[in-house]
Amino acid sequence: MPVIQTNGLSKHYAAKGGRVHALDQLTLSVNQGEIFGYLGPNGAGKTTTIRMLLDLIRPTEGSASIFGMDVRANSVTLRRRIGYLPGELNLWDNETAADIVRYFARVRGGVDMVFVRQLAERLEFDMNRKMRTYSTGNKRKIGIILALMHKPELLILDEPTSGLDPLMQQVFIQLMQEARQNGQTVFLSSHMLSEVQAVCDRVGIIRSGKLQTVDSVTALTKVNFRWVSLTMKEAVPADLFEKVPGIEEVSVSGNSASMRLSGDIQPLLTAVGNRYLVDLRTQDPTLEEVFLTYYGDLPAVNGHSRRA
Amino acid sequence: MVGSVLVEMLRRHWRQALFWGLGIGALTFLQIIVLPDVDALQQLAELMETVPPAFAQMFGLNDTQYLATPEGYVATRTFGLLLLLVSIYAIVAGLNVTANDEERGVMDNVLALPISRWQLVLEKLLAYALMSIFVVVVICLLTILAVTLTPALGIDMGKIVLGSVNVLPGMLVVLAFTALVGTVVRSKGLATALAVLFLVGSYFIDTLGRDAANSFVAGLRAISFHSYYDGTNVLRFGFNAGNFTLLLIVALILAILSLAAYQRRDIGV
Repeated sequence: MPVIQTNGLSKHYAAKGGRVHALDQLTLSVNQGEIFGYLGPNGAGKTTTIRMLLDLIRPTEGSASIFGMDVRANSVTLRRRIGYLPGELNLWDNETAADIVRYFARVRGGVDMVFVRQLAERLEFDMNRKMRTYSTGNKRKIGIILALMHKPELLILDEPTSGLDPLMQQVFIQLMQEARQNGQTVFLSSHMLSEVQAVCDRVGIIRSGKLQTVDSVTALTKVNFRWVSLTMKEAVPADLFEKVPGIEEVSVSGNSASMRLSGDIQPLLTAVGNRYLVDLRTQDPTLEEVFLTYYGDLPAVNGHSRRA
Repeated sequence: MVGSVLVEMLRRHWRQALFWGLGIGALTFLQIIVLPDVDALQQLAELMETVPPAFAQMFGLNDTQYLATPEGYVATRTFGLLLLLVSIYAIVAGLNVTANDEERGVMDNVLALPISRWQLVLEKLLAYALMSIFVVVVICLLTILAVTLTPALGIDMGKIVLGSVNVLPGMLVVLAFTALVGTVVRSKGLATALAVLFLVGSYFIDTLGRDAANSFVAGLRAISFHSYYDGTNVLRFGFNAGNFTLLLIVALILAILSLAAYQRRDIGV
């Protein structure tokens, strides 16, 4: 049984000029013990999905269940088992983080305060200051502590590392790996591909409220193209790779050339013929490049001008 | 855990309630301490007889001879306007039930906790009802202190307590009404405007309706909660248990409606 299951989940808003489809017919499963990355640009529908899972907003159509229970009918029961970090963390400015942690712990009941202190230490977070004095990164840290403190079976995290420095991003990745080892399930929305690639088992890509694809990170990065760079002993003829099937976006510079190769490598080797090859390297696309194939034009990366 | 929200609200906001009580209480304290002597009150009463009746009515001055007594002076000057003053606190408190947290984007965090919406609203309403009582108790104590310091006035302390208790149901009506509009509309600004309109509208319907007994405004007095609170006459003629109970019931109905309203809608960010 999946931990999260949505069926045709939709959220439409009335707006000037017609209805806005914030989320359209989302059908998605997240399995026990996996870290699921929910990827999309701002406004794609990630937060709308999460807020419906938590019963903060109600679907226009469709349904969602967590641990086999309908999210509307069993919202209080489910929230005992869920840790949530909102995308934009707002708390009471005049309260200290410690006061807020104590308040949330009292409402939840049974929170291990030793574990809370350990989390604060790992995140290098001082809980004795008022909320208004914290930077964006520190506010993120208190959000992570509030989400993790009761060791929930399911973590729903909206842009968890937004505002964290690289060192703390690494600590967060460790925490997620520990969560996986403990059998916790994580639903993590992000537009930071490096974060998703570092921790997620599967990824769902959403665009304009519609789910584009769901697959494992490994499978997504094994799409049918790769980047090839080669170095020859002599200068590479500028037209050497013209009309070679599967080769695009060729860039030649002296003895070196780089290109995007779709399909098998044999046509490339045939084109090289008996020229002396000093070096040949291939590189799978990053998740970022895969992600961008779902979003139209690709920006120039590493000197390549790319198109989806 | 049941009661956690209530306890947290009391912990966070009891000082605010204390300061409201001290602020309004200081006003009532000063009104009594600087009370003119009986001769001066008589002169004031004669002066008030020259004031246009509608104007006098607006300030609860129905009987200028009663105004000439220390008790009448306290009844009109202090208790005539007390509900209006404490209602400002009730509006501030009512906005704290949901509107402020929703406007600040805090509600997403709160409602991610294992607590139902109705329980959250209920515990907050109870907390602010208790703090409203606290505000009135502080005002009452300062008023009693002022009366104690001016024994020559001969004002009955029991009546001061009665007048203070009498203000509570109206205050709870304003609290519950503000909470209700906060749970129905997403905008804090709109909720504030509606609550102020409710308070001021009710006050003017009551005062204008009293004065213009034959106009349509008089007919509207039945829907003004101020007409069921008679701060002046409660000292003079005693406690009206019927009106007191009616206002409590109205407050309760408004509170129940706010619990139901918040169950239904999307939470704003």
